[in-house]
Amino acid sequence: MNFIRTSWRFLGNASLSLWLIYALFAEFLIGSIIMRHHPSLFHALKDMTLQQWVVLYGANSLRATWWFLGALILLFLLALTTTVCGTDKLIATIGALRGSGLWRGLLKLSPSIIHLGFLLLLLGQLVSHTVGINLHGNILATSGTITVPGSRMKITLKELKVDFFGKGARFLGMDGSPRDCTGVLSIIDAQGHHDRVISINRPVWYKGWSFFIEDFYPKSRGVTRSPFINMVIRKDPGIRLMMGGAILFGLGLIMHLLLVTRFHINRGHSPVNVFITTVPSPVSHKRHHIRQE
Amino acid sequence: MISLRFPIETFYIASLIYGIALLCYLLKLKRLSVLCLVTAFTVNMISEISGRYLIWPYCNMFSEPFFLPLCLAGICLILIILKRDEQALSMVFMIVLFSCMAIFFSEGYYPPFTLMSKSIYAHLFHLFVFIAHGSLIAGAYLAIHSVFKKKRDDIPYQIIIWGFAVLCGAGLFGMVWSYMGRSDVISWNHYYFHSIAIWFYYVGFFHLHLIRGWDQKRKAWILLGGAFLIFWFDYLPQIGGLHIPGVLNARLYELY
Amino acid sequence: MKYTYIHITQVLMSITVFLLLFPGCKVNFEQFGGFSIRYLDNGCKEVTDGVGRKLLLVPSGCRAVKGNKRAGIVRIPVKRVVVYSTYNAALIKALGHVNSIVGVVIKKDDWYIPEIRNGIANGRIVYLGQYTSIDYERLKRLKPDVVFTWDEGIVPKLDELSIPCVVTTTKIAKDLNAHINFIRFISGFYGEEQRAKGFAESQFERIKKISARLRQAKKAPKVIWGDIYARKVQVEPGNSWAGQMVEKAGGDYLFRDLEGASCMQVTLEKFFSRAKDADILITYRGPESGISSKERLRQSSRLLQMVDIRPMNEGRIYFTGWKLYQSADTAGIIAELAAILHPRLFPEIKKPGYFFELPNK
Repeated sequence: MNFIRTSWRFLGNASLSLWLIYALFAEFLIGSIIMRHHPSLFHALKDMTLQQWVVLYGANSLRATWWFLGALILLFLLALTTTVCGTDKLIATIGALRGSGLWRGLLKLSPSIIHLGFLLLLLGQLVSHTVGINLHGNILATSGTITVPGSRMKITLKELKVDFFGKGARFLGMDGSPRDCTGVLSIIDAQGHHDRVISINRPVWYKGWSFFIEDFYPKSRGVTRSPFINMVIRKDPGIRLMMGGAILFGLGLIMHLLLVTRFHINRGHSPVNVFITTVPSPVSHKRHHIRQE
Repeated sequence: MISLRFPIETFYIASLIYGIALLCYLLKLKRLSVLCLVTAFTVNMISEISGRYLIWPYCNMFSEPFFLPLCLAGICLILIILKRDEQALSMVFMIVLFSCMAIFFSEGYYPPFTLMSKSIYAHLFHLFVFIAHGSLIAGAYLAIHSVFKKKRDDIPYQIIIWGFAVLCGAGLFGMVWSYMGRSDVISWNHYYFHSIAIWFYYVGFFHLHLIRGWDQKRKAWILLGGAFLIFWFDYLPQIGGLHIPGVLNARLYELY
Repeated sequence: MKYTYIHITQVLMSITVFLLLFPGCKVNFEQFGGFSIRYLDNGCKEVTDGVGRKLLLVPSGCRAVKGNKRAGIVRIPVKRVVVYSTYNAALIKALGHVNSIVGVVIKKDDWYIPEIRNGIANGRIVYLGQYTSIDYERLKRLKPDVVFTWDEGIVPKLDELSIPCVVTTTKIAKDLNAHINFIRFISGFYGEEQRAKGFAESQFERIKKISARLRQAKKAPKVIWGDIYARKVQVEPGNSWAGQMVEKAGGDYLFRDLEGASCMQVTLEKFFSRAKDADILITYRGPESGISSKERLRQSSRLLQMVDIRPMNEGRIYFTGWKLYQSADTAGIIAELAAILHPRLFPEIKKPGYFFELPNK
């Protein structure tokens, strides 16, 4: 029990959170410089799970991947500290809500909503990159069919239309280049045939599966070959968590900004004073160094 | 039909008027300076809108050098409306500096066209990023300005708060754009990771109040560091890095 | 406070122990740019090709290791291959297995590797037609063990014919390391890993020696590697092996900061703002494309008629010869490039093999 209390107090320490945030800043900054010299090491993450990548690429190229592995650990610790601090703050905020008006109450709750959104985003990313199916290199020609692995679904590319810039296109060098690429996917499963339009930036979602065009052919006019697409097939359980996290984060942020501005206008206070709405935590208030400017 | 040279030429005109605004400020002709600033902002806005219209539905992903003066001018005008004329006009030299950088160091106006940029989320992402960068740079400048004036001022921090909020919005739109186009919310390249690094930098800034000893003066230097990171990692690559200047060759557009 | 520090210490020690033990978790795996080989049991290997497809290489006579989501099984060592890329053919020759090539998609006259040229002449190697119109019947009759192709579009057809294929290009240009080490990827199909490793290491050694000599160079000439067409320009990005060869040869590659696919299109403004100060332009367009002089190059492009760039006047323009794409000797290419950029430091290299200067007229 003591251990849990001590750990909780340790993780709820504001200094620790700040150290973690700036350590992550340093890791990602250094990492972005290292990545420039080893791009293919990290491109591999686009089509494999995190755990596969760590074992295959991460462990075999530690000189270039140490920062990423370190960042994963730091992110995990940050998620822990955010959970602890967020819980402490929420408990304290709920306690202090009595007597506050609706708007002030929402203002006090908004940082918690932001932090919850951040946690959901992290969790969603973790789930997305560790669990689920992510298949690249699915080359599908028109009228060709592929079976979606792990399911009874078959996909056919019924048609693919590539629009090109005309001769004398406004922008030099673009004549004959692709302007748009749209296809029709026919999904065949036990329920029958389902036609869906697919395009660049316009994937197809069907029963938890998603289909994306990664590349297409032809890339120039006048080529007499069967068109094809290079398709990505995904089953991503983390995407809903990320969407939820993004919505919460965005809502919390908008709420906070609007309410801070409202109080600034009404009270003549600096919004910075009101922005810093940390309330002492009943568990770790002795460790928080709260500044109100 | 609008000529392809139109957005670039209007940007030159806007830059000239920004220069006149700076001259008026230095000659202590404040009213004229404000008038020039308003005019230049309008012309810059016309340049920006026409440029976007010409390449619509594609997105100009590297037009931050041309957008930044507009954003900074917008912030100046907001400060003028809030009756902070002195602070607003002190920023004009920065607007002129960034305009000159766009004219003399930028390597082009129109982007290479990629189908990936043909997305409303691409437009929203880039717009939000450019506004965020402008706000964060302006906030840093004003914070340092108030340190040197030995005056306590909360306005820079308000600008930083909004700038960070817009940056978060940019991140969310960017995630959506990346997912729709590449099937993954994360782009596994160095651009993404240095952007995340800068985001964490500002997240840290907003948690500094939890630690004793971080007064406005010390925080101002943190903001300056953030502005430098934005300039080095985001702005410079868009003008092709540090290189010998040369005016954008408008003759090329006669070929179009 | 004391307990907190004990906990911090425990956490840090656990992380340190984990990181120290971590390298022991690594599997037998090698990656070469966007390609990789993972060594499994029983001599089997799982390879990942340029578009992320996974193939299982199984020694003849062995049972395939079970696994899912694989694009095909290849029996190794391969004895009959079809190649699309001349560079891949050169690598297979360097591995000592040029006789395994039974089919190509480039006609005889465009080949300069004598074994392949003669092979097509005497019928041992079949010319299957251009990549846009492959003779699939002939391909099927060849019964190749594998097809090494840069054309993703042929994958569905080869799947239909149950012929395994490996896509040998990636969306992003291969860097110099990946380009030289690609022989090690190909060697996995032949069981010649040691030979390939030795070859690659000797290439890197020679490049190191070139770099050592270049330390005496005072100035790095500004170089661009790209093609100027009538209404567009394409360049090799900084992450490409071509751009990195220029850097290794002691040049200042002006598109060092660009990242993308090989021969990427850039805006005119960007190209001309950098090209105007370049000392040397390297282009893929030579006499075979109708460009036999600087004058002809200027006439072929309205862009060059509008804007002056230094290589067209005081600078130099080189076009690449056939040997560049049909040679596995990347170090030799870099040495010749170094001799062009720093002739005083490489006086022994006089005869051009890979790069030829375009005359003024």
